[in-house]
Amino acid sequence: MPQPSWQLDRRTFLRGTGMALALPWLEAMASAGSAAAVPKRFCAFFFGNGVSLTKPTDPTSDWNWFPRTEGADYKFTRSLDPLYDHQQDLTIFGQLSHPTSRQLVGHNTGDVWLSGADIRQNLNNSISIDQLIASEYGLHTRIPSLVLSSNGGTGMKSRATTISFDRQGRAIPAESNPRSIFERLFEKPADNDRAARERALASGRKRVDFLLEDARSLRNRLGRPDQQRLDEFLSSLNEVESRLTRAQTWLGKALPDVDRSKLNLDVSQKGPTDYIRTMMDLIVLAFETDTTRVATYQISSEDGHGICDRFPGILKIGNGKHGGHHGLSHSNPSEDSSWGEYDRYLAEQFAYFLSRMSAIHEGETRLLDRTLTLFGSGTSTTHNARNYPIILAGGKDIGLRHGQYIKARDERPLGDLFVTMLHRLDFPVRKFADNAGEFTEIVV
Amino acid sequence: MQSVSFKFYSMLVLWGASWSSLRAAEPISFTKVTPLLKQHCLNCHGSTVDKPKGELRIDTLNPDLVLGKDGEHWQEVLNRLNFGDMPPKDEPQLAGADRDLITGWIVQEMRRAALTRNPATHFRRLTRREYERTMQDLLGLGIDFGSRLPEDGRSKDGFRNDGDALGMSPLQYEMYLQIADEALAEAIVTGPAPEVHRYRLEAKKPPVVLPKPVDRPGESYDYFAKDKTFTIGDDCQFGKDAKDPFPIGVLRPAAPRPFGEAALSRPEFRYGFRLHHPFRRGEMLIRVQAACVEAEPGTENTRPPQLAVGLGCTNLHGVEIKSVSEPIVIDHVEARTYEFRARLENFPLPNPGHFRDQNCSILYVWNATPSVSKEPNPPRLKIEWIEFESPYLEQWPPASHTRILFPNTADLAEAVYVREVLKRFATRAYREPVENAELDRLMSFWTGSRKDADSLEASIRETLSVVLTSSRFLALPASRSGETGKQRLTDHELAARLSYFLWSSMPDETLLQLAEQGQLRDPKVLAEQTRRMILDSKSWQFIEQFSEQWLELDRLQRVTVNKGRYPEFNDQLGTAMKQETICFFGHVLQNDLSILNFFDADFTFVNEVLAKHYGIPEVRGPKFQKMKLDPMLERGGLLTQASVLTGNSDGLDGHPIKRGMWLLKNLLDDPPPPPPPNVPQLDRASDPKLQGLTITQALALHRDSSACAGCHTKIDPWGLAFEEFDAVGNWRKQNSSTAIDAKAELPTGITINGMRELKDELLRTRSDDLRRAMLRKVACYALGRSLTLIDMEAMDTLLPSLKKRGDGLAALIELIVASEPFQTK
Repeated sequence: MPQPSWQLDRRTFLRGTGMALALPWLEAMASAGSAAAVPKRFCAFFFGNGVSLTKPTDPTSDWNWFPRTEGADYKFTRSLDPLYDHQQDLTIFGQLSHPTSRQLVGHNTGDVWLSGADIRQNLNNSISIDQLIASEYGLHTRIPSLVLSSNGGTGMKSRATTISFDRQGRAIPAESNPRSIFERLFEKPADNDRAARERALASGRKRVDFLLEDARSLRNRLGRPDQQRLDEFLSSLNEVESRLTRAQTWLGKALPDVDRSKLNLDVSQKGPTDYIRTMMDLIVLAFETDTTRVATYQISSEDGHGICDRFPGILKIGNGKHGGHHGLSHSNPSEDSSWGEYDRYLAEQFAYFLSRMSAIHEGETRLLDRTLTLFGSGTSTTHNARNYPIILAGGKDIGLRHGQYIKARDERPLGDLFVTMLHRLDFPVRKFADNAGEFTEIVV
Repeated sequence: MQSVSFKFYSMLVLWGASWSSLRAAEPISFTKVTPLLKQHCLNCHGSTVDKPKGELRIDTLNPDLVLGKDGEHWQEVLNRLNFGDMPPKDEPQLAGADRDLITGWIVQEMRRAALTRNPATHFRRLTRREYERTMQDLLGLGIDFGSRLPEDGRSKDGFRNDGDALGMSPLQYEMYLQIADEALAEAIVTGPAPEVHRYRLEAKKPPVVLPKPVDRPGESYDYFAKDKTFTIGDDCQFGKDAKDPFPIGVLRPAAPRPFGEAALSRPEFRYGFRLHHPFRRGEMLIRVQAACVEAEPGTENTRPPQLAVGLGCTNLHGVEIKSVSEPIVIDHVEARTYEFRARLENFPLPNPGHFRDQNCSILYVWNATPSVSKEPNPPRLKIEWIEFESPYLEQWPPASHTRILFPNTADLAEAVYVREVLKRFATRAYREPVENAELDRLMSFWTGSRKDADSLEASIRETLSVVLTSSRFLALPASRSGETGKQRLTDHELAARLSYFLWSSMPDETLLQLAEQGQLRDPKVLAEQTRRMILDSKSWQFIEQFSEQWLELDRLQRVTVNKGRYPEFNDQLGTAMKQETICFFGHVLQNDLSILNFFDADFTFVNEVLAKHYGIPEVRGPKFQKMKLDPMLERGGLLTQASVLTGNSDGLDGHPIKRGMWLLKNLLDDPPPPPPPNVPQLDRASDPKLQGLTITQALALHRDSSACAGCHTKIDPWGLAFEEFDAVGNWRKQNSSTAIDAKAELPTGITINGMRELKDELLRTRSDDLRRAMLRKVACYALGRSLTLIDMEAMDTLLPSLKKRGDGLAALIELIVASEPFQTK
């Protein structure tokens, strides 16, 4: 790193860098906005309780979630082979996890899967990666982000039923009713919503205009070095103002014309396949119409809570002898393939989403090629918060290359992957959550 | 000399005079350096070669680092010399003293250049702490407003209030806007008083709903009405079965502690409520009646119990909990009532949505005395009852409201009234009178707001939100009146500078009045006010922040103490170590004691935890108390405080380099040059050359390396005397199995052996360095910027006056406040 000689104290310089890291992505905002013309997107799917892991010598050896060999020539095991058609559009990762939760019972990690916050002393969460992206991308769309889960709401801390958390680390309630999601997005995007947002934006602009004028009048009365400091206030205010202006542009836009008969909205969690697929259809539709560019969906939450725990039972996986999803995760995968069968079921749903995203084209490329899509869990097997099952799909058109199973030699921070994803989405951060470095292996 | 075309500037002569005041040592003149450069460098890097090596010509480098542009090249020369790569091995080598002369000159010039280039900048953003304190004082609300702002950086001087390190970004501005909205929503209310929840819990008794308070507003909450969602459950845990000798309501020691799930586990023994609580903010009143349980006949209580009260929330398996205050020692057997107030928004809250036992608020009381396993008579705390009231309203509308929207008794027309409201508020927020033109602009903003707003209150909130996010409020500006050059601060600016220096917040009424009357600048008044402010408890803001940043107490958090070697070390002890230093500094300040106490003192501050660590008997409880130090303890002054010794260790052993550097940098303001880039730290564990050596031997080897020698002969000897203390600050001279080698020859040629002799030597020869260091460092913090050359000279001239006044720390602050740099912009 080039450093002018006037930097007398090397250690001071390091401290200076630390200071920059304390505001990791704040300064990055302006540049992320410039890429807005061609949409890039982010999407994440979470399931709780980890996955079936078996030994090669087990009779159930085919039901190991992770492939048996690394690199480009890997073969899907039965747990993941529904994804066969998409092999060149995705990367499977091994040995990733959030460092500060590795010692905790794995069920706690759903809350911090997308944030990487340290929850050993308290559950002060921090912003999740989707909300960071939405803070910028959301200025260009009608809805800043879609936050979905099969259970809905926020649930209790440590077993949240949402995977999205705001800037202050507060849980964002997830939506779970497909019909009301559809109506909010495409039919009557609540006049209330719109009026409230209009009012908030107008008030915001009025304030910022006042503050700019106020700062300019102060500027005239300051000495030159002082003016330079104040200029940082002025440029920050200018940026706040242009963010408000950008946010206002969607207000005038007409609703996209969406034919509701193409969607099956008569679904409920009691029919998991239709339900999960409709939720995915809604995300695809929201992306296609550029109603939002950021979505998260917690397909199932951690531990044995809520309706999503009953999905395997409803699907008659393992003949119901293990109870729900949490029960399955306490079964013995070395003898019983039930858990692996449910993993495979979830992979089928993910494959459905990838097929939908591949079938829709925008210009030369497929929707998928500009959408970073994360799929996985925050625990490998139940109670073990290491070696998360993680798949990243999509994004070929924004600098990612896929087709491998990459297994870190030692447990590696999931934050490394997050930072690389953020870079692909034009957030030039050096730090997010707990990253130690970046994941250059998947960058073109 | 002819072949060497060095250019000389008259500056060089000028600086001779000013430099001498910067350092105790004589400055190195460039004329001493030129012959060495000529002899050792110019054969390859001079005019006599066609192609100078590395394309670097040293003879044409401008030796004026202030005005010249060759700083980076000189840095390169410095690095090469430090590394020992130049001159090349097959050329005649530089003698050690000659190498030191060249490197010394380069470092001296680079420092001077950096100082000269530093313009005095006065405009600076409030720090996170200052912003929070100011919002609290201005609005009269005890909310942790700063908790969601990013942490501020540290300047090169190590202080967090230096404008250079206090940036602004769009996101940070958005946060200020958001916090202002939420703060004003809390400060200015609309409508009638909310329902008040009042409740009493006595263990194993039916719940008691207390009636509406007679002397306070708010209807009491009807728990039994059908549509009410607020429910309360008790959550007490005493002994386990009938054989348990502890009766109901008696708590043995237990504290929340980490476990395998997220957050903390509940204290094993507790007395408390689960609140399915709809409120997420507001003041809460908690009252607890508590006593100490009398000892069983024939035994005596060896330790008193400690009352802890915490608020927080539950999750599936655990709790998040934050104490409402420091634990209170309960040493009375008759029941007494203790009162606590807390703002709910400062404590962990459950997720929004459905409340249940695993997603609700909690209020716990426990016995925080450290527990000792198998203690025959553990200290026992008896809780008679707990009461709470939420929200706790002393009046309605609250004082925060009437302070802004004062009663319109004169029946002023709305616009006239609002103008007065805005004027009063903005004057306090901007810390100076508001001009009419500014007030006009605020009024026109309000007029716009009033049209769209549902109520007068809403329009006032919107208008005040721009005051709370104005750069005049978020920063300390210093406006100028036309002409250039130094100007005197206005009285109001002086009040603000003083108040942010000592209190980290806005000036109080007294200061503002004195400023208003133009009296504050009167030297006598200013000195009186400074004394008053130092004695006010708000000066703990300065005490805490200055001592922590000056002495780098945050190093304590960064050291990973080896638990195998020091099993007694834990977070509690670490916190106590830091607190000792802060209390010690605070005592020296508030009693105007001599700053030479920092070198050596016969007292310190300890609580039970730290006293045990130091081997001081009979100190009980978490509170810090002043102790006279027995000379046998070998302690006294900052150098022997565990915070400093531990923070400057590597967690396994003491670290003479860190300790020596710490002393030179912070107490003597005489830091050696920084290490050249890419030099690894001395690591005995992984460096095969160093394995099996004592630290003293390893350091000696380190000093032998020519790349390190120049500086380390200046650092290491100072640190070796600290070897009498291990990584957590235990004095180990007597009981150590390996001999301690704490003997060193100081750069001045004096040999010292151990801490006692080091302190004597410091007192004998380095007192002036300490005085100078304190003057400069306190001034740096007081001004919120790094010092210019002129500032430094001004501080140095205060030295005789400081001595005359007995070296008192409060006197030192008075001197700084009275100095020109403090009173000008």
